[in-house]
Amino acid sequence: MTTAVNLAQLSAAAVAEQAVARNEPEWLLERRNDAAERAIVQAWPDSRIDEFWRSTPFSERFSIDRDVVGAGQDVALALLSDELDTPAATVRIIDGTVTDITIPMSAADAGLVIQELSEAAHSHPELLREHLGSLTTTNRDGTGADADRTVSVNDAAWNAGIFIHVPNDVELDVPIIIHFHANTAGAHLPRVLMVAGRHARAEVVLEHSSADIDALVDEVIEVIAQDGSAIKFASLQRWGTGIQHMSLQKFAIHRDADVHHLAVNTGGTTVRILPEFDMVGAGGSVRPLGVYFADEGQWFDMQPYVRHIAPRASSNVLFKGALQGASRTVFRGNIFVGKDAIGTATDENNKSLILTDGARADATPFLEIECADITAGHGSATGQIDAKQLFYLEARGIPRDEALRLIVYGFFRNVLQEINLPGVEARTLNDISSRFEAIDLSKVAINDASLQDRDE
Amino acid sequence: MSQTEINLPVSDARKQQQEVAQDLAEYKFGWSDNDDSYAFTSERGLTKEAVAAISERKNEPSWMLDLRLRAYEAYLRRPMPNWGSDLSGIDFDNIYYYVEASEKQANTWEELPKEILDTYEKLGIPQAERERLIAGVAAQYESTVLYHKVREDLEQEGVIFLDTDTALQEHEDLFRKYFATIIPPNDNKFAALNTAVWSGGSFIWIPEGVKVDIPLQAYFRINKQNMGQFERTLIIAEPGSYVHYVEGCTAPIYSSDSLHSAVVEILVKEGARVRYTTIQNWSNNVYNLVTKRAVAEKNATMEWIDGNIGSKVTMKYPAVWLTGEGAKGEVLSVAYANDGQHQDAGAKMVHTAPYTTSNILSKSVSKGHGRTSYRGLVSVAKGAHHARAAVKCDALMLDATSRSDTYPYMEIDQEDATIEHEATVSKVSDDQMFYMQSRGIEEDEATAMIVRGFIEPIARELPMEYSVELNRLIALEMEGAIG
Repeated sequence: MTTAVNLAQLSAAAVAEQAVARNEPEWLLERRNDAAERAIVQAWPDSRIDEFWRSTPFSERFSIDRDVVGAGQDVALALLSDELDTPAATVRIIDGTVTDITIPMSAADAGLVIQELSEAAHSHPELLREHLGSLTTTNRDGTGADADRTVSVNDAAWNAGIFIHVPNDVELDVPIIIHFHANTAGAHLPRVLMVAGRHARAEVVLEHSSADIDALVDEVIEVIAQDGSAIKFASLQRWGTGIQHMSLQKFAIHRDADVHHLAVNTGGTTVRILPEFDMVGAGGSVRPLGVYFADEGQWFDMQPYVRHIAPRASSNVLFKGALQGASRTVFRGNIFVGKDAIGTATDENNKSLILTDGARADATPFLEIECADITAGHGSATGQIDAKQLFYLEARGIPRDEALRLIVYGFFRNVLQEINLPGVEARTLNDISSRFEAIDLSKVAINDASLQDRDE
Repeated sequence: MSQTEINLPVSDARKQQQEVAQDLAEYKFGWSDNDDSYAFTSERGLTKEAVAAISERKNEPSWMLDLRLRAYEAYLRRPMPNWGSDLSGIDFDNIYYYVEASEKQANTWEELPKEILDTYEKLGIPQAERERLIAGVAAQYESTVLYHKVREDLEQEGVIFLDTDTALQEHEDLFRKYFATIIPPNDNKFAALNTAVWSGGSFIWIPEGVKVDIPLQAYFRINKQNMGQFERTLIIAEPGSYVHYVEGCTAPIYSSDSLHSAVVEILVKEGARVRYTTIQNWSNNVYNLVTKRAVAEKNATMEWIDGNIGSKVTMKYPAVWLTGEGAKGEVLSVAYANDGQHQDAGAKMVHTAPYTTSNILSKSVSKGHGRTSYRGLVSVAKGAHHARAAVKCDALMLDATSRSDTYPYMEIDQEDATIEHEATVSKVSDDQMFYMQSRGIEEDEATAMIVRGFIEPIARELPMEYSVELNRLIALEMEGAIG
């Protein structure tokens, strides 16, 4: 039994003790040590100074004085994979323990590897040495994540890590479903490294859930999409109350690779997701999508960041959110187009639906462009349920409550259907409707501007 | 073989454009005045004593001295902005904070020193005056307003149009009631600096129901190396009144960096309308860091029309606080950044009352190594129901080395607000160029035409002579646009 590591007072010695207990190789130990030393000299984010933390007050919404949660015990869970009719490769993580990895025969035969990271450090040292931490410690344009202590502490002290490798030319016929469940109060440091080889094809759903506990989840996900690969990746934040979640989900998109990413926030107290995409190969494409539904007391901060470094890549960001009660959402999108990224096509959109009084939605869709030979656009809109749509449905005999639900469904549905990952749409709409229907629907704000226009 | 000169017919428009560019090249770059004619120059750098000396020199009431000193403390306390542009090049200790051109205020053009008169001739002010295009001219030469003329009928209507220093002497009660109420002394570091050392600017008070039907106009110039210009403008529009105030800035080139940090406060009372138009063409060494804010009360309308062409760095975000029901705010902004320039410009709309509407239209052009940034805020406070806001920013990049950023902030605290934002970034397309060139228009002229077309939605909102000037300045900046 090792001693607990406190996140706020993380030391290189404590990190080493944990790693030795997991029997990790020397090179990984060194990396953890480097990260720990980096973290120790870094300050925790200060929302008054740090531009990327401006939108969410770090010291108010996140508490870091917590012990890192170690081994967890298996509990019964309603897993997404159990609800599907079709087979899937599944991973189950409870607290700091990977309790189960199941890979269907066909996928295993094709060469799919899913392992604990500590284990993979022995079995796939070349891949791990090349890619683990390659996206958290590289500063391609001066805005790399390793300047942020919340990322450095994960680099140093991650546990319950998962490694996924889809070899070259392998097109998986089953989705990969990872379930992370936080069952114990404290700090959780999950980590995922995924390498999709040339022309590989994979679908991944990462589902987060928790008991109603007071816990911090500081997560780092790295995905390398090599030349011509195609990845769909959805991260569902279905936390119980009391969870503070920050997650860097960073992708390197190489030549002609195609990535669809979806972040769904429905649960948790404070959730800050950074889906980041480095377009490092010519002709790559990315579709960052987001769906969020914020209820009383919740604070969601979504910060998609696309860096166009290579030429002729395309990106198209679309985030849609709805808010009710005293809740807060932040959309802070950033598209950077570097000098060499000629022929870039990029678009960025955020739409917010404010359902009831007391909610606040901030939108900051940024563009930073150093190259003229591109097409770029962005937009954002914040509004309410349109009275005209409601009138249309009610005129056809649909009761008001049902009509409201249909409109909210319709608002999110096109995003969910676009990525079309198994179970994601049904599960998300279900979560949203249970929250939406819990409020007094007569309090929902209706924008009658469209009806007034007709009168004129 | 003898050389044959071929005379191709040159279109009149093209010829005219060349002439204009020639004229402007002279007026913009070719002259500066002799330094010896300054009447009073403060020491370089800023101390408490220097602030007090400015106040004493101007023979100000003690409350103004107190305000200046409080602002000086705030200036020391407030941090430098860590966002936006790089301001590390400003050497605060090497700036003249107060410079006076001559002792007395002139009443007619003839009384002005010849040197200064020549400068104004170059700027075209007397012509404008002769043509009666402008209602009154507050021509500011460096820190002291030298010349002031308000048409007699305006005076009869009770309109006050003075330089700010004179207004403090002549209308102290009115002045004290409004001064630094819209932008408090500690608002930000540069507003604090301005409040501590302000000098010159315009003071305008429009009585209830008076509509000034021709634009009031002021010209500002910086002409001394390393001098700061800290003018302070205060406009109060009483209920139901209307005024259009026009301000333009030009400055000759100098080698070391110069600081311009103005503060403009505007109060638009119930049902009144104020339009404030600026075309700024600072020389390429000027840091232009300006705080502009208007408060629009019930059913009032505030319009900022803002053109930023010169300067090394501009950070300017004209703001409208929509505090009364039905108030309306509008910002039209055009920015042009050439080599070595960063135009960080935008707008702020703060909705705090119901049924308020705001509209921001920003057009930016970056050329060479120039960088334009749109930075704007739309904020809708709780209780501002039925607020509507629309933001549109378009950027045009002329060269592969240009840079364009868009940083829109939207903070919506009210469930039934309607906020829209859109932005586009484009370059001069091959299609457009092909279309123009196939009709015999040369490449550089075609580019200039496309740029003029791009900014046209804003140029058409300007008074005629300003629209012409904007187009001329753009034409000048465009010279050799295609290498």
